[in-house]
Order: sequence, then C-alpha cells, then structure tokens
Amino acid sequence: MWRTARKVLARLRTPLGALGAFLLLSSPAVARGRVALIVNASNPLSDLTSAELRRIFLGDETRWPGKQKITILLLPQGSDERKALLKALLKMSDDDFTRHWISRVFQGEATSGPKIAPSPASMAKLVAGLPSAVGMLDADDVPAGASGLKVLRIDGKAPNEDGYPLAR
Amino acid sequence: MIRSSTKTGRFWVLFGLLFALIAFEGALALFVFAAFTRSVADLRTMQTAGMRIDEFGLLLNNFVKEMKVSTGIAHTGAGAAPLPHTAALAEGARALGEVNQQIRSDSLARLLEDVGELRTAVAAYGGKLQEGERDDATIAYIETIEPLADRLMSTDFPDSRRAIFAEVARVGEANRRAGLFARRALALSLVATLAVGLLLGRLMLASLRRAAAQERELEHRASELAIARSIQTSVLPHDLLLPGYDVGAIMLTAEEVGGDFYEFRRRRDGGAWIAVGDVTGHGLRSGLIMLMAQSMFTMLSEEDQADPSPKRLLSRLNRSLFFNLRDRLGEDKYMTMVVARIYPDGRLVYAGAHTELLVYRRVADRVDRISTEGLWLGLVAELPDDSEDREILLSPGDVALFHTDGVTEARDTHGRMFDVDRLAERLREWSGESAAGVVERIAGAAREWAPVPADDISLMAIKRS
Repeated sequence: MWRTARKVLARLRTPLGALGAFLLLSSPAVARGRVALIVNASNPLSDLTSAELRRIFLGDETRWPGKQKITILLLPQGSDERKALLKALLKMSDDDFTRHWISRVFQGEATSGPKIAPSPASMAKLVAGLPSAVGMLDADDVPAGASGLKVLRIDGKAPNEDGYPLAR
Repeated sequence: MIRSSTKTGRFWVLFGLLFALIAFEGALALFVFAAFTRSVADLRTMQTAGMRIDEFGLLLNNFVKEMKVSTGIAHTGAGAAPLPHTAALAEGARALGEVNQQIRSDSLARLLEDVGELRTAVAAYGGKLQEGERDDATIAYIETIEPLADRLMSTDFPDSRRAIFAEVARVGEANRRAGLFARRALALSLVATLAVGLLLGRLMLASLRRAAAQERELEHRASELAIARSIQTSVLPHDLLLPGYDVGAIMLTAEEVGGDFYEFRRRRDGGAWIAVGDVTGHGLRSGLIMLMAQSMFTMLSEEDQADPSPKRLLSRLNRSLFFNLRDRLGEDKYMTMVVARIYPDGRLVYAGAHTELLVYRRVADRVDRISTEGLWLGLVAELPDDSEDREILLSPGDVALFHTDGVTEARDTHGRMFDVDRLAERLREWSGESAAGVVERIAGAAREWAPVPADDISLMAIKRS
C-alpha cells in the first residue's frame, strides 16, 4: 500500500505522471499489489493457468506452443514483486527458487536459468524486445498502452480483476 | 637329353619364381614400411585432434558455465554482466583449426565457425555494455549468445568429438587391417619362398648328385673302355709272316669298343687260317664276345683234322658261340665272320657271312667284289647244310682285302659314307704297296674321311708274292 502510494506521489511530480496517477486511482479495478506476467506482443498466448505457469517457472516446460524456447525474466533478487510472484505461484522463497534452478542447471536438466532484468523499465524493454520472453512486473508498473507487450490473464483473470491469483 | 632339358627348364622356372618372390617381398616390405609410417603419422594426427578437441571441450564448458553464472540466476546484480574473456576459447579454436587443416572434418569446421560467431557476439555484447545499453546487451545475450553457446555445447562439440574419434577409430582399424594383411601376405610369401627355395635346393642337390653319378659313370665307362680296348688289341696277332704271301692287318679302334676281330694262324702245311669278324653292338660285352670267338677260333684252328675246311670250322664255332651267348650269357648278340684258309699254291678257300671280299687282280688291274654269303654266327644253333666253302685263286701280285663295316660305313661331316666303291678304288690305287702299306693307307683314308670314328676300322690284306 505504501509502495503504491509512493509511486502515485512520484508520478504526480510531472503533468503526464499526474495524469497517469489520476487514471490509475480513478480506475474501477485498480491492480495494486498484484504481479502482472507479461509476454511479447507477438506471443499468441494471452491466458495461462497457474499450473502452466508453475511448470514454466520451475523449468518443467521450456518451450512455447510454437516450440520457441521460453526465456524467463525476473526482477532482481530481493525485489518485492519477485518475492510475491514466487510465493504466490510456487510457494517458494527467493533462495529456494535460486537453489532449484542451480540444481537443474548443474544436473543438466536445464541449459540456463531465468535472466535478470534490473528494473521494471528494463523488464518492459526486454520483454518487448524478446519474442520468447515471459516477464513480471508490478501490475502498476505495466506501462499503459506500451507497444510490444501483452499482459497475460492467469486462470482467466486479468491483474485488475478479482480472484487474480498473483496477488501479494 | 629331353629329361635334362626339362630339369634345366624347371630349375630356371623355380629360380625365376624365387627371384620374383624375393622381389615381391622387398616391395611388400617397402609398402608395409610406407604404410606403417603413414599410419603412425595419421594416428598421431588423429590423437592430436582428439586431445585438442577434448582440451577445447574443457575450455568451452568452462566458458559457457562461467558465462551462464555471470548472467543467470546466480547473479543478483543489475542485469547484464560482463561475460568471461574469449581469449582461451580463441586459442583453443586456433589449435583446432590447425588440426582441421589436416583432417578436414565438416563438423569441426561448423564448430569453429560457430565459435567465431560466438566470439563476435560476445564482443558486440561487451560493446553494448560499455555503451550502457544493458538491455540491448541482455537481448543480444538471450537471442544470440546463449543459443550459440547451447548449440556449441549440445551439438557442435559432441558432433566434432564424435567425428574425430570415429576417424581415429577408422584410421586405427584401417591400420590394423592393413597391418594384418601385410603380415599375412608377408608370411605367405615367406612360406612360398621357403618352399621354392627348398624345391630349388632339392633340385640343385639332385642335379649335383646326378652330375656326380654321371662323372662316376663316365669314369667307370672310361675304365671299362680302356679294359675292353686293351682286350681287343692285346689278342691281335703280331706275327703275320707267311711264305709266298705278304700279309698285313690293322685295327683302329673307335672311342667305344666296336667288337671287331681278325686272326691269323699259320698252319704246319705252309698255309694259314685267317678270320675277320665283327660282333654286333659296341662296348665291353661286344669286346668280350669277340674275345670268346677269338679263343674258339684259335682252338679250332689248331685241331689237327684230316681235311679242315672253313665251313666246318665255322659250324663248330657257331655251335659253341650260340651255346655260350644264349644259354650262358642270355645275350641277344651275334657276329659276322669270314674264315679263310690260304694254301701255298695261291688258293684261298673261305666261308661265312661278312662284308664283301675285295680282290685286286694285278693282271687285269681291277678289283673284284666277292660277296660272302651265309648266316651270321650266334643266330641259330646249327648253320644250314647248304652253306659251303668257296674258293678263289690269287695270282702273284693279286691282293685279297678283308675289311669290317667300320671302313665302308665311315661317314664324313656331310653324312656321306666311305663305301665299298671308294674302298675298291683305294685298293686298286695302292695295290703296289706292301700289304701293311695297303691297310695302313686305306685305314688312314677312312679315318681322314671320318675324323670322329663311330666304329672300329679293321683291315687285313693278303698279297701273293
């Protein structure tokens, strides 16, 4: 809550940001505290189940339906969004998740693990630039109308809808 | 002669075969040496290739692992991080490139190409980092570098390693087979050489033994011939004196004893017995039969009979000779012989079957050719009753000439015989000579006609004084 409030206040510093904050706060379905999963706009998928996501993030599923390799992009360790995603989706701590992937890579079960996007802006840029990517952002950080990105619906729910599973 | 030619031919065939085998072994040894040298070089190249690919595999593995650790989940920093240096990878690729110039493997070439591409991508990645374009660097990493690295690790490197070690195995197997083939070929060739050598040695040994046997045989025969010739000549009469007559005789023996025979025995009544003959065949046996006939003749001519006639003497001699030849010796030989009795009044009574008797008639200055008819001695036990004594009369100056076929059948280098006509002509020509002179000159002429005599030459001339 406080984090969202800080973001709203930060956006109020510029006219465009103020406009964004207004739109955000006046939206009937504000997605505060929810983690959005984003994919490249070219990705044909728009809806995934929690189970499918778990398989992807654990490395059990490595390819999109079009056989393209899945590139997992995460925010850096310690970030709230990352922790929230791992807890809500995988019931894992950050350290457990890291150990899981180290184990998979060193046992040869995976060629490489998830990649790090240092910031939400980088995340948006990387996902927009990588057709194979699936990334994460705080739902509030998803640039409105950002080209090249698509927010996935999870279990049929968008981040701003009730019952969305990746809520903090 | 044919047998000898066959043996000589076989010897040369075996010798040629042995030479060919030795030449083949030499060539094979050179081939084996060259193949061995080449195979050693090939194996060394392939072993080097194997070592280099494994070294490179370690370098690649280290690089990729380090790279993934730098950029992957273990990294907690701010996104794209510097990648490991590619210098070691480049050095490994250079060494592998040298190897591939020799082995020219497609998979290794693909590996080296991808390594080059990876190095370029890593360099570009570094450039983006330096320019602060971290997100672009991350995209380049995810889209280009990591797939390249994965392809190198999962496909290029294993394919190359498999190809190299398959080649190592192939070269090794080829060398093993070549070596096995060469060893077998060499062993077979050596066995063949040994066999041919043994055959050749055996043949040479047999040849040496045969030569030694031939030499012994020749020595034996030479010794035998010497004995036979000695027997033949030692029994010849030396005293040919006969009142009212001039008697001369000669025998020129051939290389091989011919079995010629002549004899002269004076009688107490002033006459004499003479005999001229020839045993069929040549050699020691013919000489011995001649000696036998001579002994019998001597004995029979010495018997004091009331009316000794050549016919009766021949008949008794034939009986004894036939008995000895057939019953005792089992010999299928016989002999021609003419026996004559010379009377002081110029009569010459003769019987037997031999060569023609030539008689020079001084008054007419011609030579009469008188055939001697009858059966050869030793053919049958009893001579037929119809054989009879014949008689000629020698006038003063007439010459009766007995001869053996060695005179008339002497052949010159063109194969022409001396023949009876030439003999008669020579008799007429030299009839003025003494009896000894006549036989010596005729014998000389015959020997001159046939420098290499095939048979004995015997002549006996009785010239009435």
